[in-house]
Amino acid sequence: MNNQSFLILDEQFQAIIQMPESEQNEAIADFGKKHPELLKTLQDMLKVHQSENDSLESAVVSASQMFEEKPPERIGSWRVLSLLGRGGMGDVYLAQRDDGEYERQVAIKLMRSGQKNFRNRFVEERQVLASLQHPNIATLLDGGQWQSDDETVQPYLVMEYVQGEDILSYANKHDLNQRQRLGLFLDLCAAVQFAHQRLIVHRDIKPANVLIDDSGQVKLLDFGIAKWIDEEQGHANTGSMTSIMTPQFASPEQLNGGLLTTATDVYALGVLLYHLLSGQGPHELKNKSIGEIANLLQQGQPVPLSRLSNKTDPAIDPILLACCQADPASRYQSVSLLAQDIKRFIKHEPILKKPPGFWQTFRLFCKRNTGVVAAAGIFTVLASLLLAFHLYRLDIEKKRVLAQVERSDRVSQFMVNLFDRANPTVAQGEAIEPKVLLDQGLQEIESALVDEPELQTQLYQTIGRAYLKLGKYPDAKAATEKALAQTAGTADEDVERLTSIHLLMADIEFNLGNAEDSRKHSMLAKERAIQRFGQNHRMVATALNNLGVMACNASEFDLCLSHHQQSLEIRTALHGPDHDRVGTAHNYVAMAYDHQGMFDEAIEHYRESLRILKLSFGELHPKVIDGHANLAGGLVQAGHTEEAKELLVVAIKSARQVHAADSPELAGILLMKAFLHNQLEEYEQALPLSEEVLTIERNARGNAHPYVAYDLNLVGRGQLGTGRLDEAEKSFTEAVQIMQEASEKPEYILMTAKQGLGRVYNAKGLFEEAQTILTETWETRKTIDGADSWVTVWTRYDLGVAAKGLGDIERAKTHWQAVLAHATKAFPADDVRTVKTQEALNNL
Amino acid sequence: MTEKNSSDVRPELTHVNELSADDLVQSAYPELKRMARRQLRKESGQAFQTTELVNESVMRWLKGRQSAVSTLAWMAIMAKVMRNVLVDEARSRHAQKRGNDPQKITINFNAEFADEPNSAYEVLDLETALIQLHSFDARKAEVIECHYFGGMTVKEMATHFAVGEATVKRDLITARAWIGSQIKP
Repeated sequence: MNNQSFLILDEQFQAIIQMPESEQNEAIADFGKKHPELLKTLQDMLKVHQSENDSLESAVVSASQMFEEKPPERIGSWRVLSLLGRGGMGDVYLAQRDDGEYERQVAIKLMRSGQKNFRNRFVEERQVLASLQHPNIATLLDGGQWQSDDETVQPYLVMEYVQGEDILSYANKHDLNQRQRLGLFLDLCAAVQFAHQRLIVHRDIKPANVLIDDSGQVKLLDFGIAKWIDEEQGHANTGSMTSIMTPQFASPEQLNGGLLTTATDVYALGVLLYHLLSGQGPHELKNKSIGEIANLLQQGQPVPLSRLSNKTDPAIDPILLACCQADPASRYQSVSLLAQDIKRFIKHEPILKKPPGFWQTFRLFCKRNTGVVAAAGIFTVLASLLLAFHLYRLDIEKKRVLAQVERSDRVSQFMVNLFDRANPTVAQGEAIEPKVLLDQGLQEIESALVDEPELQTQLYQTIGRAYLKLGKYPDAKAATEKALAQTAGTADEDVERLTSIHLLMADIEFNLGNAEDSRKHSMLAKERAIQRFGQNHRMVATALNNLGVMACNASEFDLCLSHHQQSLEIRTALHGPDHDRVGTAHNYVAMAYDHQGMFDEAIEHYRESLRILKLSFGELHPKVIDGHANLAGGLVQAGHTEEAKELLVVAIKSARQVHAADSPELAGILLMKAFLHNQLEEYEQALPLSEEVLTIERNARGNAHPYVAYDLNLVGRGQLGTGRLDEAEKSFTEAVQIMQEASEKPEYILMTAKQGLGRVYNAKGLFEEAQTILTETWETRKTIDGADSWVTVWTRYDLGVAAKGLGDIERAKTHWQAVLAHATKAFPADDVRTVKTQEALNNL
Repeated sequence: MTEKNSSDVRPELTHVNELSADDLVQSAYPELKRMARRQLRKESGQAFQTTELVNESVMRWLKGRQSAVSTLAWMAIMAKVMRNVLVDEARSRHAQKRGNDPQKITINFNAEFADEPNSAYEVLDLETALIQLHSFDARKAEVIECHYFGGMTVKEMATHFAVGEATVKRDLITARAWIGSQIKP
């Protein structure tokens, strides 16, 4: 083919496709006669032209698919098993712990793009999101950033993997009736309400995020994450791309870029309920652009559900209508109010919410849809009559019921509304700090609620508790003191409130380090509660528990044990033997026994505690992890080291999954196992754990913290045990330096470091130096721990080594005999320390 | 969104005003190519969206600059980049699969490439046809490039090539039919 032929083809082809079909064949035949060599091409071109498939487009699309990403092999310390799904914001993978220690699988959300400081953001917010421990919320486990080979940084989040199906499919597949569907919906509401009270908005509630797991439990996924992603993308607190991905469930403010608050979740819940009950959405959105949808949501009203199915009780209509209002202020003011109305609907009681302008809306609807209304005929009339009846009854009952729920609801409402009041800050794209919200709230309580002292008191208390949770103890104290001042001494004292305020104060004072004040408030709480409610009351148990902790801290161990035992009795009587509070109470009793050196009793209670906590929280919960570790601690002290090791392995597995890799919580668990290995002289196993702990603590607390010195001692001991003498000397020397410069001085850390140095000198054959520093240590220990305490006596073992090295056999013998005498009394016969000392003596 | 992702390294172009489209492509080409590659990767799993890529790159590159090159010219440039990225990738993968001999490309694939969708290489035949078409009628080839690789509309192309919309439509129809006849024998 050449230019000339192409020109001819172009011309003839264009001419032919303009022709009526009837003339085309003749034209093609003519063309064939003139240009036989081009006929085939022309025929092919016509065929392509008529074909519905665009082969060029498919070639380009197929080529672009070469760039499909292969799933990464691992993300952070997680090994990717498979791709679970792809979404607009990123891909979701099924994964498992990389070290293979863990059976449990997790879901990892890998976002498509993000900023480098994501890890920091994650650490900041982890506490908040991790506080969402609720049976109906999938827990957030970990997060970080992952760098792919082309250097793109992608943030990821690790979540509890929920195996199940979304709420709509589940309901349809199991053919649930309306009552069952509403039951699931109420569980969902409970989860959302739980988060709202902690100032967290979901912002992306849709069926895909609401799963029903294999046990039939509702699990809400991705809490608080939508906001995060938006912020990553630079949309702080306004609607954004995330929500546009699923416009059927988006609220008007999400489509218009308005502020997203708890009311946004109320809207999405309404839409979801509409789907759940009718199988379709409140608005017809098919084939509409985002702009059209936004307008429709702003102006249109949803079709009353009872209109779609005459089996539906029209009382549900105002509930749905109230959720789906375009104006956030016209919706249910909280999820708990929505849930209350649903419950009333189930019980055929009149609902409380009257949607604003409902009648106008209804009339408008009739006007617009006269045809439909006429056709619906009698049914419509009946429906509206029923509705009118409901509304009539509503007015009568409303006042009575509202009075009961009002105050408690206003409190949670107030917290929830703090979001809305923070608007000016939010609008400027700043992240909302809970503390800022609380400060604003406090001011408002003071000025706006002067004539409602009861509500004011309750809010002071609520805010005090919130400050406490945030670790802002002085603020917490200031707010709670106001609550206390308003309650105490009033004529008709509300004892329950007063007691709870005292308990809160006890907690705050404890955290501020004011032991005496804390004890005072606990005593007051206990006395008042017993006076008013008798012995068996939860507040009495809480007060006793506080007092027990204080007593143990003050080394009054008998008192400590008796307080905790009483508390346990009350809890068991109140909640039965399997309640998680009973589990916690067992743990306290165990610790009290532990302090007294009564290890067998301690172990028994630790075991019971662990059993109950596992029952209540499952394996992966910080409390359960601590339960394992506590039991292990008790077992170690009683010499049952093998079982202790097994427990610690379980605890570490869980801790690695639940806590971030750089968290002190994880270090605390690792440390126990390192310590145990050291004690058993299994230094090879101890050392890596000790080093990991040291790294975490250095990062978390800085190099000068006494904990770092403690960890250095652990590491040093491992190094010494594995023959790395120079490294060990360095570790112990750093520990000594830290402790000599530290303002807060647990002497025992310094002593351990000095003893460690002494041992290093012994091992290096520097017996003079060893004897000097060990003698120093021994003398100091005699004064702080007493001459007969084990640590003091144990120092003499190393002194014996130094003496032997210096050729003073008699002195060595004296030291070792003293050690042996003590060890034989204190430990089982096969204890490493006893055996070791005996051998040393034999070798003399 | 554009500001947030602007960590991409931009080549220093100090006198944009004086640069022609070709100069710009020359200096910016490696970077544009990297962008296109990344974008393709990100878009995977969704429909192929050249238009978005082109728009974004145009916004990114022209932000705060007065360029002699119009937005439409940029879109055309990006189409060229996109074409290159796709063809290069297909070529190198094809070469890897075949061992060597990257010259000889044929559409008759067989089971030996089963792990890669064969259709991924159709773009190579498209490329061959496009090069030939360019020698017969350059504008028609460019129209195909702008439309299929750059997502440009008929209206945009009419403005870009300074011809009527009917002409662009006519170009598109003939060119599509002819290329189609070449790549699907």
